[in-house]
Amino acid sequence: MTSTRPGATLVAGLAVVGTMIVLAIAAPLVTGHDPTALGLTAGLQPPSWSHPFGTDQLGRDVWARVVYAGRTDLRVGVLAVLAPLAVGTLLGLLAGYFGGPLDRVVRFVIDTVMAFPFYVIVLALVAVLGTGERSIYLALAAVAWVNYARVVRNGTRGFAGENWVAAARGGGLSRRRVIGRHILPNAVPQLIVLAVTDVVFVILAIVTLSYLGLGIRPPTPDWGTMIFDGQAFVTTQWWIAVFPGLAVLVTGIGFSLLADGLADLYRERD
Amino acid sequence: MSAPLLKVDGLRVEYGRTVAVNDVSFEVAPGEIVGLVGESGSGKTTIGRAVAGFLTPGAGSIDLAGDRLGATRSLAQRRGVQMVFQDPYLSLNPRLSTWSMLRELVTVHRLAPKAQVDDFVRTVLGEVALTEELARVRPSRLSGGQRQRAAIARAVVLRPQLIVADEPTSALDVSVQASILRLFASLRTELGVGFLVISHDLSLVRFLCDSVLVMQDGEIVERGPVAEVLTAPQHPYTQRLLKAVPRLPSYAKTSGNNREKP
Repeated sequence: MTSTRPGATLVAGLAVVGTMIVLAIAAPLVTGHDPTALGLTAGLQPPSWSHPFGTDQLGRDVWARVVYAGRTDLRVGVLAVLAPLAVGTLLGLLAGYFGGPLDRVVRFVIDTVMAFPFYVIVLALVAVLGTGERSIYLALAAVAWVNYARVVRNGTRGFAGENWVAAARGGGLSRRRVIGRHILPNAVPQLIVLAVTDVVFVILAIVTLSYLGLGIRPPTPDWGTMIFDGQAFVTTQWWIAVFPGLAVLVTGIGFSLLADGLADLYRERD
Repeated sequence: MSAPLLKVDGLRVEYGRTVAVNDVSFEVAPGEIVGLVGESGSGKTTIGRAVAGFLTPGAGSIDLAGDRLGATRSLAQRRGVQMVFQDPYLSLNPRLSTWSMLRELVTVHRLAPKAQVDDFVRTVLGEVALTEELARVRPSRLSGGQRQRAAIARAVVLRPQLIVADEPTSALDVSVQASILRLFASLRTELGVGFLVISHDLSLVRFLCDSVLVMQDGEIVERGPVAEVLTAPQHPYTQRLLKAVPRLPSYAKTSGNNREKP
């Protein structure tokens, strides 16, 4: 059996994610249409040269909306991962290193948050906080940090008992230095893989929230809202829902390949 | 007689209700190599970790060159006692090269002016016979002996007065063990460092140490110069320990036993 060449997954992931990012950034260059411009006389047109992905019920160009929606969803997907990553990493490091009461409290909160299904808490929080990007960030930050905290806490707990940590402390290095310069770099590879995987999860959450009317507010283009708008036409004007659905699928596969590729890379280097 | 470098007095360490070390007192003179022997669980490593400051004793005192080492130690006190661990595979940060590790310690302790940090590190690498090329790679690319040299460099770079070496060669190949022991001997001669060498290997102690402490169940049962204790042991436990050392059967006996019957 031939094995995949090392790095092929990473290259594929980078290619797919890179393409999606370039399309999103260069949206005004890859489409001449305004994603929010209504064309009431040109509604529900199938894919054609002038509208490669067709038009929706309001005559908006679906290709333009898909690439502009990439700007919103990719931006929110990446940004919504950063706060939980930072909070979870910090709490995981402190709980794992110091142990004791702090560790017990952090573990209790992690277990409590994890006991609830992810979407139940996120939906409840967004319902309370109101729709929009800010609420998505807050709701995801409140829930998603537990994954990072759990991984980092468990890793740090193991490292804290290693002799190289004892030697660093015995060598007169401060706790802050030992945690930040010695333990954290050992957790980083796992964190990067987890964060990249999480971007997929967050994008799916945003799409789901938007589909349920709790996410990105119209008229800002967003893949979830587009799928919701297109579902009434899915048997007759399939292009309205299928293209944004494919965009979600391709982005998800791209980030998954990237995460796998990075994991392979770190395994090889170690 | 000169003032002791290390003076341990009435040391007691408990793990919960278990008394690991009970009323242990001993001294190490400057530049002396003292061996600490005994079976697993006799409390050797616990004493080493208490002296190195990795655990807080329940009772007793530890003085280094007349300076009392408490539960919290100053930077200078930490520098004074360094530890070399048993397993070099677990005692080095997997993501930190020896070079970075040593530079960090030199910088934090301000052992050299900024412009001379690299030269200081090179000097230390020379002392432990590790090349700069090897020092710049991650520990995973080093052999067991090279890793132990890196771990010794970490201890030596701080110019400690005492090095606690916990089974420093037991995880290494026999061929590498001798070179590490010679390194200890040369560090003692060149830098005047005192050593507390924890080992269950009596031949290592005989080769390297000036004096020896024999431990049983958390207490020192016999002590004295190596030549005396290991040749004419007084305590029954030491006698048993010496008898337990496996010896190769003589050639005549071996060949006799293995000889095929006609």
